Amino acid sequence: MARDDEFQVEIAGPGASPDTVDTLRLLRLGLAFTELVRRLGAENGLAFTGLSVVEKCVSLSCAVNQPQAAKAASARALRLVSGNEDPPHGAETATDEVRGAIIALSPGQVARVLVGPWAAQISVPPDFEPHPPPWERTEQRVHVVRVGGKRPIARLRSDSEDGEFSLRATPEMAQKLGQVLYRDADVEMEVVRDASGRIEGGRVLDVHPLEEDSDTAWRSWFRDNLGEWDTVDDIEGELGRRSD
Amino acid sequence: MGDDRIDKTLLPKRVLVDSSVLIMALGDHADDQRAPICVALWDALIQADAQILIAAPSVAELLRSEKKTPLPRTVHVQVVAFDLPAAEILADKLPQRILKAQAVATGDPLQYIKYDAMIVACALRHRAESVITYDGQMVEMCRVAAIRSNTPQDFRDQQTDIFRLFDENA
Repeated sequence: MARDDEFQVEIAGPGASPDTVDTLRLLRLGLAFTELVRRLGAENGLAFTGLSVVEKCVSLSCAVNQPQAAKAASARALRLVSGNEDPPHGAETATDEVRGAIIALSPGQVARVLVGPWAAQISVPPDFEPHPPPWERTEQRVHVVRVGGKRPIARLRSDSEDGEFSLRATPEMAQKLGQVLYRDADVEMEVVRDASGRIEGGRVLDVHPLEEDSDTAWRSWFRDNLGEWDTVDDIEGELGRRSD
Repeated sequence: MGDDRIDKTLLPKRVLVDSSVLIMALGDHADDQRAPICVALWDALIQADAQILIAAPSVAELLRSEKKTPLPRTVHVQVVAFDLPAAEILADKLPQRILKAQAVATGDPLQYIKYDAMIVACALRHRAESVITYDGQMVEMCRVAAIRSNTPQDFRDQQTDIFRLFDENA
């Protein structure tokens, strides 16, 4: 029988025993969820003390100074992590940390929080995708192959990259891409690459349609912005170049 | 621009145009004998539906004062970024020791050589078939980095030259 002041973060399922659990996954989950609950209960002076590993599946157990406040904060943490409530300012990262820790569990494993006899499962939104680091921000000329979906995905092709790649897009960006579907456009993007350098994910930041008349547009821009080059006789010298 | 004709069969489909060629293609340099072929090449590339790449470091070289209007975004011309893959290509193909050796050999400041190297890295990263330049130093870098380089004259229509020779001898 659990003590009323006992706070536990538990992993249940295949491989979830004190002897076989993935140590880092358990610690990551325990730290992330306890930190989120602590933040949410900070106004009530919520504090945790002690630590033990309990063999009941496997859980990290500690004592909490205010069990009712811990239960209320835990219940709210569950709503944030599951996406049923938006995280308050300052709790966004802590919420994502818990989601990341849940996603990282082995297949078939589930996570639970227990405060005294009260217990509930910690769940993430069904469409949650962790942000894979590192991100690279760039802009490329792309051909828009396809765009759509409830959570829009853009399929793009660039002569600067190997093959086609997919990026997430907000509905606003999806609309912009839709206006240049099957055509080329300049797209600002954040991308993540795999070990071979291929783009494996990312998101569209902005979309810029193209003008048709390259010659007129560039001559006009040159005249308006770079006209002083017309008075330079030694172009290579001015650029610090050699024309030999 | 007169009688400078380009043989379109010689044109690559994707070229990076260096700063000096761009200045002569788009500016008013009637006194420079290279200007007509640069203008003709620019026109021919667009007519041939080729992609003209301009390296972002070239834009930095060209802008001498505050930019008044945004760079155009047009179907045949694209400004290509010096991004993370370009930086990795630069470090791999044109490492600092090569640039330093080139600075020593030519007596040119390392900062200019680095600019050239960034432009060549942009060409490689964005898969240009050739770098169009008059810069001897950049030609050498292209050779080291294993990417083709050309001058605009390389695309001149030889037949036009023969007719011009006839005209001159008439």
